[in-house]
Amino acid sequence: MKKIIFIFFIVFGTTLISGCWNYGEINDAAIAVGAAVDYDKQRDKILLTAEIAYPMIEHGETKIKSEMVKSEGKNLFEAIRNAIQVTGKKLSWAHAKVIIISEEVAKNKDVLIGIIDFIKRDAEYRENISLILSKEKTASEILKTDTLIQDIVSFQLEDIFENESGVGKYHVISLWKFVDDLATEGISPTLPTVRVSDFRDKKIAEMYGTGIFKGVKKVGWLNGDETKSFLFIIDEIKGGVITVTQETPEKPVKIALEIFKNKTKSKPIYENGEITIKINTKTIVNINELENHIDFTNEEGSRLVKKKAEKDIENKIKGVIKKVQKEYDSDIFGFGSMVEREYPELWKKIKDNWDQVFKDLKIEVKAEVDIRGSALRSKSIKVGD
Amino acid sequence: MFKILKDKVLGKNDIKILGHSQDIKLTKSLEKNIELFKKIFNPNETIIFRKIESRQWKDLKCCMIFVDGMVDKTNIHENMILPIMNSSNLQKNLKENILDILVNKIINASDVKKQKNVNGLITAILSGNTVVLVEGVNEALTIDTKKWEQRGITEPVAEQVVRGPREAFTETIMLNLTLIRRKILSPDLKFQFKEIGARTQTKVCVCYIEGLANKKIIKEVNKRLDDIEIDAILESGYIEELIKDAPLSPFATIGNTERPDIVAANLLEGRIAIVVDGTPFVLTLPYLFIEYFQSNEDYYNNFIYSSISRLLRIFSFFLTTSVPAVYVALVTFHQEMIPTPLILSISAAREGVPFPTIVEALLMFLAFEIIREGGVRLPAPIGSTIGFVGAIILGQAAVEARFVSSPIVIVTALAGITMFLTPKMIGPVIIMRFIFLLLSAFLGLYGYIFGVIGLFIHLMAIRSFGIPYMINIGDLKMQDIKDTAIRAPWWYMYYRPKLIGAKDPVRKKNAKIPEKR
Repeated sequence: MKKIIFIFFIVFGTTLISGCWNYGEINDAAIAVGAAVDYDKQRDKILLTAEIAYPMIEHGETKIKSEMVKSEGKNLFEAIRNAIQVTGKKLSWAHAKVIIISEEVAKNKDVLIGIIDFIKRDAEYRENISLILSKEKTASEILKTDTLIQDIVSFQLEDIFENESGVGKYHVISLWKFVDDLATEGISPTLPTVRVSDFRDKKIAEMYGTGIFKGVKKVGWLNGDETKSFLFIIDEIKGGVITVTQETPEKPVKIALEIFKNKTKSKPIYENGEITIKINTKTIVNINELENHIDFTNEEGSRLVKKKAEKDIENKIKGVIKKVQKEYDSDIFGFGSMVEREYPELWKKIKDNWDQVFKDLKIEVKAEVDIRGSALRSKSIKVGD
Repeated sequence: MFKILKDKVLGKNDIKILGHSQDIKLTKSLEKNIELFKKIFNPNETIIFRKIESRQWKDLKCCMIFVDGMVDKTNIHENMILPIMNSSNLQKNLKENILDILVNKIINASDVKKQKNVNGLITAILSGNTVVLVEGVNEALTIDTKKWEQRGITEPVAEQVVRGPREAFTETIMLNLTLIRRKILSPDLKFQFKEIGARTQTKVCVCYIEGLANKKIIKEVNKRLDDIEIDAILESGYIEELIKDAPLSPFATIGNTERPDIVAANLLEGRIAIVVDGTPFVLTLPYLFIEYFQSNEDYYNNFIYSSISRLLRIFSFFLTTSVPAVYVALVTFHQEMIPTPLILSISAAREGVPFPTIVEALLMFLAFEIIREGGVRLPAPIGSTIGFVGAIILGQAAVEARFVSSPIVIVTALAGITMFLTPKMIGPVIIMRFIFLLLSAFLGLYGYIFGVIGLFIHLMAIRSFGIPYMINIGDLKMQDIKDTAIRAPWWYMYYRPKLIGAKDPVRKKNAKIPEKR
């Protein structure tokens, strides 16, 4: 009997001292799937727009609808709690896919840090929630756009994130990655940007480009094509299209190459008191679209295309690096951490004025394109009159 | 406390019901002996006292005592009454004992015994033997004349198979032993009889194969059977509960079956069978946890298919115990673990349902158990009606009326169906499922895992007649898993399962993969 009481106490002890009891019925919480955070500088208030998904039964069918909830507070946490004033239910953030922040937030260091800190600290949010930057005036505009295939904007955005590799013009950053880059020396974080574009009579959200941060402050922006080159450098390109314009005796011809596989190796070389970054990128592609009947799938033709594509990639990479070096002076490529890995002693000496060193870094790019095939056709389309 | 209660309820004298005839002895007077038996049995008009005398041999006076309806009357008439009546005077001169003359020269019966003990005589009469009392002798003859109406051998009801023998045990112990004996024609097959139950004197037979069964286990079984103190044994379940290793556990440590082929296979693996008179269910022991998932058909079908069905049964065991608990835990504690589209549709289904998820689950399981329990013992035509009503009321009306949500109906149905893949485990499964459900309603997945750990500790602690109920992963050898969760081909199972502690482990000597022919 004594033994049973003893075991009973151990069991109940472990259950009682182990943590929070987070019981809650599923329909007692409002499921937030996305949020847009704005900052009103004059009143020093955080404006939160949360997208809440809720099921609706229409004619016996269940449909998922969404509703925007607006609230404000001195900080994000207060704004989120204030939302209960309107919803009547506590917001559940476990299923939130995306947090959109406005330029205004990105430009105010403390506000952004506060927001990120809260999201990281609170137990409800997922670590892999995507953080994106609005190119429009406010972040809430993005959530208010129309949807195309999905019913809910946040789900639409999630779909866009998931198929990033097919395009390569934006690069989705999870919250943990952003915080990680922020903390690491020798690399600056980036965030993907979203803009509103017109589509027939609708206004839809479109992912395009990359916002560049220096520390926790937004300093610049890369457009879609520049983003693709940026992805080549950081070895994150997994697919997408390279379009090459090849001169022919008649007229220039556009050739579309589909990226199958890419591997980029970057290495800093320290010689004669100078650091050179060597970038080697190897790409396996397929000829996927030929504009003209001129056949580029034969050996000679493909060699021409290969040379052209290699040169294009090299030039674009160089261009992006130059632009970032010159205009934004923010090491989003992580060259600093490469130097730290290769030459730790050197890094200790130069890390305090890395900004200056980065600006004048020498870059050597070597691109290698391997054309593997020409999809299902071996010849170009013949046009006979 | 229990002792006082026991004495009060049973009454000390009740247990020794036959005690009064212990010290009474037969006398040499036939009349007195008849009086004695009449005193013991009367009023009981099914007991027949037939007095006969020989026509020529005047000293030969006998009385036959038997139970009407339990004996073969033609047999008694032709082979006992007639020969005794016709016995000649000549035999009187012989100097042999009168009983010996009867046994050796007059009565035509194969099984005749001399007995002095009144107790034994009473039991003999009641079990269908004929007792012959003879004038001038303080001993009596018991002659085997048993014959009564009995059910024929039918197909098994509880354990049906597609492929395999179609015979099942019946209520008669001798017939059941015949069914076993017919499968194993070996002199090593041993049958040991016991009579258990102070009032019922039920015949119980311990069967084993000498040289295969572990002697220690046989000894232990005999000891436990001898220790039984009860007045009645009506079914083998009584014995199972009385000699079980873990008396408070819902899990069985002794198996039961109504199929002779299963008993024969168990005996050949070195197990022991206990056949009880009056029931078609034979006990087999030791019984291990994995046997819940094994079926005799596994050994008759292709081994790949059998292995898959065994894995399926184990998987469905986890489903039936865990699905409701995990569902409740996920929906009420770990909403972040459910995919977003699913959580939205569950949320839609729960909209407007007044009860918390755990109440829903408990209600549904209560209803399911009521329907199941209601249907089990009903005749088949009414049983199906119950099924219909249950399906319509629970499945549709309750959901449409927003009384419960549709996911909980799915969960209940899934748990309910998967339960029937291991039909012998329905009892423990219901208890486990209920405990897991309560734990996870209270503590979420944490509580569920708690329950699972508790279950495993319990199972690992049980032993069945000295054999661990579940094998320790640390001791696992290739030999031991050949016939557990999977079923190895027969040509590969060249050892008997070591788990059971069979004495002679080699089943066949040439462990050879058969050639492709």
